[in-house]
Amino acid sequence: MTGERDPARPPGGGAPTGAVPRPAAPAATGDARRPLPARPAGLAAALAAEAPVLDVRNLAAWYFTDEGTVKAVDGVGFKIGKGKTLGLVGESGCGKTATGLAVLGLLPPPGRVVRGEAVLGRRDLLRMPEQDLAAMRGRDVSMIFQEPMSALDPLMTTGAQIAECLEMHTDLDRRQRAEKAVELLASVGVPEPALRAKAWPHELSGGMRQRVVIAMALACDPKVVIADEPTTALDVTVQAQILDLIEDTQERTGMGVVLVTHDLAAVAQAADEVAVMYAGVLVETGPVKDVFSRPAHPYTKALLGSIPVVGQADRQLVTIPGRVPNLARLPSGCRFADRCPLAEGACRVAEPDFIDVGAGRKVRCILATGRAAR
Amino acid sequence: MSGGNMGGMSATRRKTGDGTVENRRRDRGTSPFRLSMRRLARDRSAMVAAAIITAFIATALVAGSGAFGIKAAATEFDENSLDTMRYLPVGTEGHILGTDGFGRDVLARSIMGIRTALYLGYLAGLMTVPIALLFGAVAGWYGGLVDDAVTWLMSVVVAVPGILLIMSLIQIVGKSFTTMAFAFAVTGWVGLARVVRGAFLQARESEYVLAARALGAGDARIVFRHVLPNVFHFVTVNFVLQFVGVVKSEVFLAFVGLTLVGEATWGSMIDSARSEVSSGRWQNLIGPTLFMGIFLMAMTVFGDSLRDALDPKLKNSEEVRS
Repeated sequence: MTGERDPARPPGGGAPTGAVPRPAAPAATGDARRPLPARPAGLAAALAAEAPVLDVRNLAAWYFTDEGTVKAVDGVGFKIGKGKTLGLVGESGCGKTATGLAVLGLLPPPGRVVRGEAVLGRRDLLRMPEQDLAAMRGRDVSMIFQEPMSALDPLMTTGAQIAECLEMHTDLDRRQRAEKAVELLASVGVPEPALRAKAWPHELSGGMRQRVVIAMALACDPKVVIADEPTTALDVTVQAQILDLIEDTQERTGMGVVLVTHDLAAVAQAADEVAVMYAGVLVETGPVKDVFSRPAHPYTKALLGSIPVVGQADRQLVTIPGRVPNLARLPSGCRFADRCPLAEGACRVAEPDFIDVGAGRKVRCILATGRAAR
Repeated sequence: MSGGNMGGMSATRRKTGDGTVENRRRDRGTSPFRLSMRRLARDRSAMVAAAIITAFIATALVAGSGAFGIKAAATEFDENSLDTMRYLPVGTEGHILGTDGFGRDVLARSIMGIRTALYLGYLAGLMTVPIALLFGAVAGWYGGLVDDAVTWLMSVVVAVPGILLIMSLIQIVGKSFTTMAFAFAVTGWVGLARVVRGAFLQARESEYVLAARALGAGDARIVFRHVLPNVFHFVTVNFVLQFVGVVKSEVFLAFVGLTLVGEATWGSMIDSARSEVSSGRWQNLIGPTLFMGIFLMAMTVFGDSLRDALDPKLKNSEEVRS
């Protein structure tokens, strides 16, 4: 498969601009070694294999509105390894989507990134001229949107829309692009791809449109894809197919995925790591299995408790009282304290630190970390 | 939304709107434009209106080419004669609608009037569209101060009585069809510009524009490839409806004396009728009024139907019905 897809890319340094160093997949380890010259070569290579494709550090994105500064994202950090999936979960309005848009530099005004880094390859996406970033969007990092109905241009055939991504980032001529578009449609599981490439969005079902949206996002084999609620607008039966499709593509191309969702089942199915977000900050991160089987933060527990389980009809579903705090006027202590059943006086004094509790997990809760430390 | 409508693409037998079965393999989907045209074709009054408009255009072209002596009958008269009382009443043989004081056939002049109306309306539309697109798009896309400035300009243009502006423009620049069309464009762009501005404001926030951005598209590509095609139905509908306004305004301008002497226009004919009707000569009134009435009615009906047919909110109505 990869062999067939290779002609899509200009060979080696054949890219006409050459402004952005773009390591081809086999050369990736060699390139990644360079920033660590002090280490022995063997160790560096081993580290490079583990090096994240996307490393977001201390990202803060605020909306400067008339009512005050809304701290939608307030110090979020995560890493995604090659071929790995990170599930970014949380309630509506907790800053999940803003995180994704901020990484791509697409935060709509009055939103602005105020600090942090998002390192992809060796470049910080957040400190890059808009022109360079535009060249990287779609090619190195791209995004899958929530609404397949509105994410497609109603006046262009699906084939033309996929071909447009190729037109922006590759040297293929018109005919090659059209062929590649059909190939991509086939690879995302669209039946009769040659026919569907000539169809307009209104002629496709929701699941089919989402596949087209995914084909567009994957057209240039990006290293990282931010999938913003890719399954929310779809039927339950189609949701699993779409998640499988994303996973299959990962296995083939080794791309990293940020799965932004409020659907914990989707995270359980598709993600390797999970990051639970609440009111603009991460409250718990770790491997999905560990976090879901032994949640440490009261908010994670409450989230997991709010999912109905088949066969346990008499189980009382947990609802989280209250609502997400106003992000323009945050409480002084723990952001979850007002809704937390376990909150003590100490919780309201200072915001708890995000503490490493071992086994690749971090928790932002004085009660949980205190217990873990004992 | 349903997956069922995919059948229309690969099926070899499909029912068309009027119930007949079409037997041919379609290798392409049905574009939104084609769907709109189908909706329009099903609209009976729109089709009648379209037929009338087509007939008017054809007549104007034929007459303008000099065929059947219509052009000659409409414009030529004996320049050496001082007799301006060569009126022939309606119903005279050879001159069904009679003649005017110079002996020119009123029917022929009414037909030549179509030409003027079409020319003026078309030229005015051609000048209006770029102005409106430019201002509307810039205001809607950039927003902020640019938007404020353009919105202010639009308010100013609207605040000045359009017909006064047109009259003064024609007085200053000089009488010609081009000047008149330009004057109509200068006063008439605001309506379309407002619509385009709204559409751009909406598009700027739309998901498909964000999606295009996320895939690396720049401003120019987004505007020209994605946003403009999606506002174009407004332009088309506005073009047709502006036609009606321009033709009416021409008559008014002729009435206040701003017309081209010697040219056969509906306005100038009705203007001459002003002094003739009192002496029982109404041929110069009935000819252009009849032609203009039918033409404007057809244009209005067609414009309204076009607006309905092109409405993107109705895009899937065909699937619902069949």
